[in-house]
Amino acid sequence: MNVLVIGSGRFGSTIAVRLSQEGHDVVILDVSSESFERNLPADFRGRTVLGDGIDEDTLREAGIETAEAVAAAMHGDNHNLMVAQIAKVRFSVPRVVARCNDPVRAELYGGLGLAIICPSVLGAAAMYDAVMSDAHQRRDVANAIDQMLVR
Amino acid sequence: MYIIVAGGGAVGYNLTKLLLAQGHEVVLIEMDRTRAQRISDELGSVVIPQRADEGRWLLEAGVERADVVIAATGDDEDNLIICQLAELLALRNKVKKPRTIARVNHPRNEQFLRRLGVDATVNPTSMMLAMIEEELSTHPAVHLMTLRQAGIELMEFIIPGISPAVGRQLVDLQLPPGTAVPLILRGGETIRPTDGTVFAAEDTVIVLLAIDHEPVVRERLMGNVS
Repeated sequence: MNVLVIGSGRFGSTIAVRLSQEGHDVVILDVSSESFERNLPADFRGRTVLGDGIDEDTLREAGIETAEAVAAAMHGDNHNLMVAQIAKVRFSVPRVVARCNDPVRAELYGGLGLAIICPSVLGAAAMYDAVMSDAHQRRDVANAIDQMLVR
Repeated sequence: MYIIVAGGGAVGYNLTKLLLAQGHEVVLIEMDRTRAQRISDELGSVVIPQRADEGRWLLEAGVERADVVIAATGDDEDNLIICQLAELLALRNKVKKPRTIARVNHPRNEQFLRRLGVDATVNPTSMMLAMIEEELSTHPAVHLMTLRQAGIELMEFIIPGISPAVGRQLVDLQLPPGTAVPLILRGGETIRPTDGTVFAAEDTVIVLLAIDHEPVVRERLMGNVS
């Protein structure tokens, strides 16, 4: 699968490295080359592209026109929500997932048909599961994901 | 009208001031506390010192009864999300959607933001560009090719609105002998001019001329510009 990951922080890099190891064609985009150096291993086989994720020329250079999936994983929620909409509306990418830390925005945009991953809600659910491990079968994280993704 | 302004930079601050002076009810959301305090000191308690891209502060600002939401921050993505949040919150709470206006800094985002539901966009960059172009009425003349040995060149002129050529026939311009006009581009259309072809403002005119004749041809096509 051709996957474009936008944002090469710890979050985006982790996804890119894993997809690449599984044999997918991965392009990862970031505004800073330092992020690549800091967060990607030396043997990373994907392609890195330097530039702003909301710039269409940069997205084209990163191969968005042939991408089968886009993961918007930058630090800023608004950046991710805008990129996700560019990918979906402008480039008709079949699968678009955006990271959004703010639960309110995550919920409202989920209603718009975007697949949103909210790390703060997921992290809290995981913590809850860990705290309540004797009482539950650790279902909270799974439930939280079910609510976030538009399948 | 009840108006929410998001972002208290130079644009948002001055806008708030003007709207208040016109008698509108205005709330400004500015996340920088120092800046918010300074504006409060001057304009009264019209400032919420928070982030406008978080739904709860838009609700606190009364987005449900707002007539207009103006996103005036310096970042296009923030302005998009603020306008969309105002719309989504209205939808969720089943109230009338406010009119949304976004400041757009990258000219290319303008159309896209409107496509994503923003009612109106204001782009200072293209506005300034348009003004500069109007001020400097000298439209460019571009040298496409020079055949130095033959002493002729191929040039491209864009006819400005103030040019004396506008509305006149090619033959009436009395271009110097040996000058040829093989092509005019108008909108998406290509025209093979004849003597009777009439020029219009913004025509792109391709001209083959003797190098010595350039000043005369330039004046006939572009007007008397320095």
